[in-house]
Amino acid sequence: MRTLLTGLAALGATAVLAAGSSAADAPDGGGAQVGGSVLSTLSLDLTQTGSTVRVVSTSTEPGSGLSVTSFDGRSGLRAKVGGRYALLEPAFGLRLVTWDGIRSGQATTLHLKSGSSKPATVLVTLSAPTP
Amino acid sequence: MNRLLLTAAVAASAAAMAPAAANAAGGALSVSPAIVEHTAARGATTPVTVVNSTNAPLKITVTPRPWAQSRSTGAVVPDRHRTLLSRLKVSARTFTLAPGGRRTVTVTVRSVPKSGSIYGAVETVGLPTGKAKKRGITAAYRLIGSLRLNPAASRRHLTVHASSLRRKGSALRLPVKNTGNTIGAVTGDVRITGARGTRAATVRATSIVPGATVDLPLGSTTGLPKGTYTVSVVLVKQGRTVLRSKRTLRVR
Repeated sequence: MRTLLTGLAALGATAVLAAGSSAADAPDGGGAQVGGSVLSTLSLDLTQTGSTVRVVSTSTEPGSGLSVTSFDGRSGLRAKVGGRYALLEPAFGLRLVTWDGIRSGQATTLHLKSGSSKPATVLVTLSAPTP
Repeated sequence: MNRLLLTAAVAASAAAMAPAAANAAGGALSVSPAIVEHTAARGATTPVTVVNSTNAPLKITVTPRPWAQSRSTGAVVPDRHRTLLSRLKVSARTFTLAPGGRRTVTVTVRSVPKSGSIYGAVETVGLPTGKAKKRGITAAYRLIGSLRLNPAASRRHLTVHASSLRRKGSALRLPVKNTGNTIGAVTGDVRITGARGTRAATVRATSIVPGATVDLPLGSTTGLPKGTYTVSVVLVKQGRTVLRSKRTLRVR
């Protein structure tokens, strides 16, 4: 993980500088350190095949989470990421996972099910830590 | 490792990854910043950038919403029945974003309530355009940013109010209402004292939205012999003790 993050950091340096972020600090002792202010980001990538959705999440915020909720508050929708299907609660939806750390390209496979044949829209939700 | 560096790495990888993902399949919808935090002030503005790196247009809706909090679990989600539009103006609430498109909308504080703070979500929904499906389920995008417009330091109130103990089965809970104007987490210690000794527990750190009540778990009565106990609770918020309460508990 540390190796991966180091690699990503090298990739990130270009983007950070290109974004015009504040200047890097030069630590005591000379060695250059890449750093600066970077806007926090949430990014959600959805690939749907039938009732299966591949979700790829990226978040710079520890404590972010993935959930699913009905677009129009209708009942009877279910979802699972493993184990059994659970109902989407109309007000609170269904919390699928919460991550302690930051996430880059975290893949999750989501399965959806409806109790009726009517078309439905669900909102796959990536959330910064709340509140 | 420096958290700032990690943040930079993740932000950069998100940007780098998006085009590949979009080619392979749906692609990504992104927003930044994920968290907006500053002192609440009328006229203050915050830019929020939305990027569609999918290969299809998306109908984007940006809505500031207040939080809804579950009394039993403490879970916090945007209240989809309400908005904060009377307090916050969004420069473009609904627009279509082409593949590869990017748009920055500005959130401006119209007014600050008497409480001096505004907390809520910046909800960005991305719906596919075109004909709706006639059957089946369509997955759409929703990104929830957190808006934390804190009161000025001189107007900060950390108060909470506790009601009577609640018991559900063996679970013991203390309803606590945030009567202040900040969202810092409360945590604390519990001591259940009876004739035979004391049982200690901790209160898990929980953020309570101003005005909301959460039944904080205090532990279980399982294993307590019949008798009368004193339940002492001390709650701490942002380094200050905000509640000292003693309640009587009868176990039959």
